[in-house]
Amino acid sequence: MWIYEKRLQYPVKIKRPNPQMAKYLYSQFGGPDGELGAALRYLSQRYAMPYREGIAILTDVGTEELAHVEMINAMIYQLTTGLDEDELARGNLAESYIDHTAGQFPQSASGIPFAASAFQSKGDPITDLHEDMAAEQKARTTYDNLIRVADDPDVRDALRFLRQREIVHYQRFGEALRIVQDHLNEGNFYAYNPAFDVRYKKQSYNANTGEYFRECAEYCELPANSDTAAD
Amino acid sequence: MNDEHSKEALMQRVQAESFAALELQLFLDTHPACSDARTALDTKLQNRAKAVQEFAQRFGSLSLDGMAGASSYHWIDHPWPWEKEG
Repeated sequence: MWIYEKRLQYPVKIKRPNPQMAKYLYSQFGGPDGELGAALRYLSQRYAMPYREGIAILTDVGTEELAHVEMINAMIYQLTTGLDEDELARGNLAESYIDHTAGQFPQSASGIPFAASAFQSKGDPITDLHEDMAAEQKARTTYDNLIRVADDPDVRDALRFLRQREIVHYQRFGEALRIVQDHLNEGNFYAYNPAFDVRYKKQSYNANTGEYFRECAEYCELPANSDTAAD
Repeated sequence: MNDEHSKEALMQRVQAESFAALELQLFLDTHPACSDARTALDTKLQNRAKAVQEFAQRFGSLSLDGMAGASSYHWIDHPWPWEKEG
């Protein structure tokens, strides 16, 4: 479950209002490549991940992304707090003001509401980790785009931190993919889906090592030179 | 303000130590056998716990656990993290 610490992961101290910048930042809140989508993607994928390193990294990065959602919300808040409807309209937030006043609603910069269709939880660890690596690059590019149009150093500082995190996450997911591949036969990584074809026909749990031993279902296609302990 | 016990300075310590611990956590998720990382994590967690406690003593708790024995239910008080004074 989730515990909340009453602080931001990294400080956001914006002194100058800028509703136009807030509008752009909405994409990292509710946009297709934003932090909310990232959090839900990773947290959703972890249930079908068969390997404990993968579960851990999806859990921990997913949790960190929720902290990033909060940072984006903090930036939007500080960029728009106290502004009236005319000032918001001058920053191209007129439509958002009509539907949400000063409330924050998960949507892209162009006003498209947040949609789960922007991400996938495919139930195959190779597929999901490729999805995750692509997601981190999409987020990094979005931060590149935001930094280009941000001239306020307080805004730039927070954006650079968030951008750097995407690069680190990309690295971690790449390592998780390697770990998944190490469990599979290098002759054919796609012989079976370890998240589905290795059924819990016979499963035992070793409390000392924190690992499962699972016997492969009869119809599970195993490469010729591996044994039935899929872990 | 250069005061190392100022709210901003103590918060910065909490954030820095927590971030260092998180980085090690993510690294250990994919390298669980790395004993150097595990030793470093122990140190960062100790530093973080100290920073969290010092912050809480002077400026109020950052989490529910830290509310034990508090003289008032200050959990609900401003500033919240997204506010400029947060």
